[in-house]
Amino acid sequence: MIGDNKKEDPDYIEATTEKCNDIVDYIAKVSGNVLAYDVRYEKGNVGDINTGIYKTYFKTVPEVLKALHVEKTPMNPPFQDGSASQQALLYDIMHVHSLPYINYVASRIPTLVYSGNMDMQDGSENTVGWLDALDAPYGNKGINGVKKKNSVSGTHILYQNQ
Amino acid sequence: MTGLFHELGPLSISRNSTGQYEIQVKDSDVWTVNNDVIFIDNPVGTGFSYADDSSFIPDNEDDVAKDLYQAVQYILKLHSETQQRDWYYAGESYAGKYIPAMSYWTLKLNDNKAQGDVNVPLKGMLVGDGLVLPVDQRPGMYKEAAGKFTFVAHC
Repeated sequence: MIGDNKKEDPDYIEATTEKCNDIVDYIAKVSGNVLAYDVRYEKGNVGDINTGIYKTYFKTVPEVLKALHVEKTPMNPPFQDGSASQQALLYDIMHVHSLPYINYVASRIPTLVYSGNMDMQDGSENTVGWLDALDAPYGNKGINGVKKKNSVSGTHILYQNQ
Repeated sequence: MTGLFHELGPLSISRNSTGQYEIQVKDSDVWTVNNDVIFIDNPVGTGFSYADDSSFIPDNEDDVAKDLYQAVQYILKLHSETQQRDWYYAGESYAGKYIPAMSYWTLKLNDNKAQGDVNVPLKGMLVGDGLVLPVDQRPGMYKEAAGKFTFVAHC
């Protein structure tokens, strides 16, 4: 995670980019050439999420804007890449406050947690990690207790049939 | 819109070999076969969701969640038939933060509705590859890179 004070540091950006590329290359080698980025990235360009297609397409098709009820948007282009929100939420990114919310929600309604094995940031390994941190009986260590599970890899049903 | 056009469908958008944009429509293997699906550009300030004043762009998950709750209220009132249906909140990645927050505040505010608000018939919450514990999850990238990740199989 690049902190606010390092976002403009070219040495830091180069070092972190190189490290990230090393990770992506390693995963590709051990997984049978799986692209460790998701479909939001245009093939051959994994630097930024591919929002250009939306910015360009929706700007040129007024019928689509009207159908989406955003024809009067003051934003130009109409589709924003989220950088303003990202900046606003900068100090929220590393903030840990979801666990009590998940405990509360799972105690009242069915809660399904699923994960993929090829998501290097938030996939199965790291999902199991935060499941461990949930309160009993939802915590992963109590998986044979109240929490239900099924045969689908990486899928956890924290509560069902209330 | 990313979820709609790049992940869940039923529509997808891409450029053809001549550089022109094309919309494709899938009629199978998409959530919309069995459900009505509402995609929301979230939080305000992303995609087509905008604020008239930048000071309204939320800087914490509780405000993000309350904005989403208001969006749901608007939809329920605009399409009153949906008040009788089962609602599920779903999201992935950073939604590991805002889906639990949105669900939490929905359940809380259902119990203590503001005047004019309707009950949100929330029946479940889905979180896929969620970012919930960032301090622990971010270093996990290195564990994956070292080939030490676990293939999770429960049966």
